[in-house]
Amino acid sequence: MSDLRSLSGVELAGKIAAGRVSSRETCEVFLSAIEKDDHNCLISVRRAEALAEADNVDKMRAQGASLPPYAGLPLVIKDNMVVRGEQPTSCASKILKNFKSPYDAHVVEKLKEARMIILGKTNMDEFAMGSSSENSAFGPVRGPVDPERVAGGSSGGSATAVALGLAPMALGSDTGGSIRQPAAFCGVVGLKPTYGRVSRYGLVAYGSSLDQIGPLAGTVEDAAALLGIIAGHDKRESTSADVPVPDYLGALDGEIKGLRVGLPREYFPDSLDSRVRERVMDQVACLEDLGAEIMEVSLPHTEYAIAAYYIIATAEASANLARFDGVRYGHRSSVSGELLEMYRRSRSEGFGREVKRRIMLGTYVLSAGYYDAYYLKAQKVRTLITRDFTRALEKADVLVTPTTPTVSWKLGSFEDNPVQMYLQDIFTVTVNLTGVPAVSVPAGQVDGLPVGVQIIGRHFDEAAILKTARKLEREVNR
Amino acid sequence: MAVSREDVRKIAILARLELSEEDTERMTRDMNDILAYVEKLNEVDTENVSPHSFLEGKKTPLMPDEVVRFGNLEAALKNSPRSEGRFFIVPKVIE
Repeated sequence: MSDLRSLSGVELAGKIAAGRVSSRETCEVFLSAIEKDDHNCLISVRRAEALAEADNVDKMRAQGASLPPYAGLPLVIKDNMVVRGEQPTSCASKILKNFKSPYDAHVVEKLKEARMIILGKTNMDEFAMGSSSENSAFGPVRGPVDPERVAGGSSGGSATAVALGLAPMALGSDTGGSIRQPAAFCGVVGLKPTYGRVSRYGLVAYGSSLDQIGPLAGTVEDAAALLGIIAGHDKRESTSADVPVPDYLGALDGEIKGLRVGLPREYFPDSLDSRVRERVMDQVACLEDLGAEIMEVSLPHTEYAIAAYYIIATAEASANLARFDGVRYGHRSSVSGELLEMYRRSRSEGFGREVKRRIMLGTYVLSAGYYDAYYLKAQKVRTLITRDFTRALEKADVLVTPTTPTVSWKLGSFEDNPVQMYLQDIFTVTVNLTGVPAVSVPAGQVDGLPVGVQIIGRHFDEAAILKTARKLEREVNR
Repeated sequence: MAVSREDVRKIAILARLELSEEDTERMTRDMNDILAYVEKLNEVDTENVSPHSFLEGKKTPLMPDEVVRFGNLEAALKNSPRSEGRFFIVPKVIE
């Protein structure tokens, strides 16, 4: 039954719904593939629970119950989204290695309502801090195409799992590119919704003004389907947007003719690898053939985005990670001492190097005397970047850029050079700073390694970027 | 150099972290590299620019001030390294 793994999520859901394969059999096929895999994509697997849920769906179907369209379809989710029960939510950190959540994240509740089956939690950069999925307390994720190369990060486990057919779809989270960049490196589709589109309730927070949960899948249709399931208002989450969820699947085959496609000149610098540029321009040519109107636009503050991002994200991270103090949950140091020592030791023993670096930076930029110069300044630059996007997205309906400046790199390449690693996020962080939605779709290969093209849209216009992505998927030979 | 080794030691206390001498050395270097890079932002004229890009046209949503019981004290305490009854136990705070 290994051909089940070559079907898209929507196709597989259809087969399950038609009774041509049971949910149990489907889950067993994927669980078996997960067990045999050595790319280190999964941190934990909830085999017994998943099969029990699958059995329940099969039983309900046999009894003639009316079930939602994706009932019984398995997926995997990044290990920074809490799932109630015996499997830990670890955020790939020693500090939460055994943390068993007493509640489900909003997106998990939505998946359960849809009767989808969560097979396990995927590996990631610790607390979502990284662009390679190497910063995990459980070892790095190995890239699906070349296992000596990174899967991208921080949702590398989710992207690799989808690329290898260990699950038909996955959820990831994106704060500075963490869905889109691994999607590009792994040759799959990855979408970051508009800020506020998907509730962050139950997503362990990294950068609260930047984080969003989104789908990773093999096809644009699957990504659209999963987005439709998880999107929507959540009263419990104060940044959750009270905006109706459109029919993303229905909008997929919308008209491209007359679509105004902007190419921001700052995302095609002279230094861009010419082969990456060619792959992206092939996509643009295809859109033009389909009747889209191509134009150059400018996002003049792009060169300041990384600096603004790393101040804002680390500042927010330092506040969000202050809760990990060994008191109510997580690792507590066994070395005795009084309260302050307990805090310092527990956190130092529990957090990895990159997490500590970002906490330290964030603490510094928020501290008395530095707040204005760094955090406030970065937030003002953020406003200017947002204005750039607003202007560009008045002239164009969508923007098209490379997702990343390069293809995947060898594991360990940026070991001692955090700034060099941070600079790789140049095409993705602006999207988080401004809150607009963006999707990365496969755009061929360079040196046998996947390249992604990024399509950016207006706030809450996921439909436009999805229909554009769908056309590229269908029309360009890969 | 934006931060000295001594600055890094003080920031570590604020951040409730404890760094070895070797880690402090490394952290000092890393922080200075990053801070040198972000200096770039000083090239941007942000006079009269609001830092609240998100808030234009929005109001903070408020929730009614109603008590909602979580209802599962046992689960809430279960993850604690040390608890007793309804309490989390921590080392004594020395005054």
